[in-house]
Amino acid sequence: MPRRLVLWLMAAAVAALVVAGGVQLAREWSVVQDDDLQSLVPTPVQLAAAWDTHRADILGIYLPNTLRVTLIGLAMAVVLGLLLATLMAFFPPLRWTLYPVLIVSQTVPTFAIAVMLILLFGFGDGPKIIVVVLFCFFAVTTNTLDGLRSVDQTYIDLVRAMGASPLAVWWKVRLPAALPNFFSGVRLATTYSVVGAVIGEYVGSGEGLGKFLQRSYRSFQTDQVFLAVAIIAGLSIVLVALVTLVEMLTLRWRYAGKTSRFTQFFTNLTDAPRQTGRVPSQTKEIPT
Amino acid sequence: MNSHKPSALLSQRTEQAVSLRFRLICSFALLIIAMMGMMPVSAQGDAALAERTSVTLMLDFSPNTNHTGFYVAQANGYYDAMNLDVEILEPADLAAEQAVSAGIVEFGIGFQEFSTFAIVDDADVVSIAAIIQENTSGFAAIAADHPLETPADIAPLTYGGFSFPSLENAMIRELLACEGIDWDAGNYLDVGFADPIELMSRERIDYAWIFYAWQGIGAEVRDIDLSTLLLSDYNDCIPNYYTPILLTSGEMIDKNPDVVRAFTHATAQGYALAIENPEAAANILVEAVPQLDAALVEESAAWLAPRYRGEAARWGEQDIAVWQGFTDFLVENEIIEADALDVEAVFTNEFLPE
Repeated sequence: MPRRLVLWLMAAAVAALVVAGGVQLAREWSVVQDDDLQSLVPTPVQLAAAWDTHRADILGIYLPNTLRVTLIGLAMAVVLGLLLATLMAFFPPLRWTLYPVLIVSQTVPTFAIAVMLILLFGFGDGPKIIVVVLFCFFAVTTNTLDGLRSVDQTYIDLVRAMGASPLAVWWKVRLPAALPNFFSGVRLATTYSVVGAVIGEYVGSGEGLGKFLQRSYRSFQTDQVFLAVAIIAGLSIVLVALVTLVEMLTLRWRYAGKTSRFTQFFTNLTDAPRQTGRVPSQTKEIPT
Repeated sequence: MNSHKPSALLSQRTEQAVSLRFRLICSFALLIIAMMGMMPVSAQGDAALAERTSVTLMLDFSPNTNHTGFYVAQANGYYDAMNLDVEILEPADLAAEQAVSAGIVEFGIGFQEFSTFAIVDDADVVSIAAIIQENTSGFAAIAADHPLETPADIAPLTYGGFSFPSLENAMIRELLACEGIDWDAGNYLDVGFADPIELMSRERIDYAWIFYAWQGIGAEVRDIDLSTLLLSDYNDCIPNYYTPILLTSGEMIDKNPDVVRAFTHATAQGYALAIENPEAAANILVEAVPQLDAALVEESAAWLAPRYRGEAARWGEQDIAVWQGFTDFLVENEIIEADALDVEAVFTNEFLPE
């Protein structure tokens, strides 16, 4: 099973990285041993202490606020991304004109449009959600578009010959074929979404993890800074794992192999879905 | 307290043998004045707004002891007593001058130098109070590595700047010129938002321009021994300037002077507590912003307490000589053009309490 081979290779790669990283760390340590490294990177004990002090505020205020903005923004980005990809797949002129605009949207630094966002959306969740959408929709759009366009023409011709309407072709052939790419896009988008919400707070205001991070950094509270970073990272991992779970449930036909669900889940977290034009079994069930 | 003066006035009047009715009116008025004197918001009573009003204040930086008065006024209900609902915002990608000028927020906190640049660029901002009288910034280095005794000591060192080399180099050049050193530009490393103290203690840069009350005391709290040249000790070389200042827009002053007055009066009360009782004020700030380092806030509050008002007659007072002096400095160093700034129009004391 090539998948098992890939898994082994990955484990080997991780082991190699751990060794290389360890050597590097030891070297760095010898360089900076005069320095007080603890003030730069807190120990787990310090992190735990910071967590203890701020747990109530983090769980009651900062985390829910960031999570809300993240999820709303991500949901909007997924819908927008899917919509744009569909439109662009259907109308090539739109693809030619819109694509450069989408790329531009990814290059604008947020502080350049901060005033505009606040004038348009005020200081509430609005500007933050927009930043998350800006961070996330592009990955969904490009991946889904690639998926929609990579369908094997013979299958389309086949269902057309069977008398399927353009809508049916889209719904029964193109969309199922694009789903693996779509989920790749969503997974990428999810990875960006939390940090998008954090950066979104730098645009306006708000009481989320971004503010917690900023206040801590500017008050020289390194332990709190890394606590916030750890929470942001943890949140991202949990959300990506959830997306992967949804993907596995949705694309059961792709995962109907012999390996256990457990292995698949973790392989899938790290391994991009195979980019093949293979038509899902679902399309084979089209009634004649 | 106020009742002493009017009673002296009254006894004068009795000597003049005025009519009984006049005496009655006088004593009645006195009674009212005395009652007003007993109310908590004595002098500010007349500044309170008739209608509940919501305003937003945008800070210049994450909350710190420069802002204590605002948090005190918020927590102790001074704004509330003025019929004001105040929301305090922390900026990041948006400068307070920008936000005030665009009318997004009613009030903001800026610095004389950057507000000057903004006004020269046609921003509509007016300074309505000097939050701290003297400039609390200075050039600092790690004492063990580079002890700074006179400005001359910084000449050969590597400076970690914050992306404003024209202003930063002008400051250093002027400071060194006063020492008789001809210095054009030294080794300037732009460190952006990175913490200069951390970079200095790891010898990536030699010295930086810091706010002593926050970064300097922050270093002390972390047991880092700094050597600092405070700009306030070199006022005859580099003119003093107000940093930070409270800003509003000219439009606010034209349309809602009452709101500006109410806000400034309540804020002045907040700073009065920060001046009289720094410990209590520090506690209020830490309670409002629990991410702050309580030890840093407490020490910083104590250091700043005598400096908020300084030698001025009242908190917030701005002197045209300070605005003029620093503007001249900027013009001489070709950072702004001559006559680019109407010094008389950029600040006002009219909203401060008597």
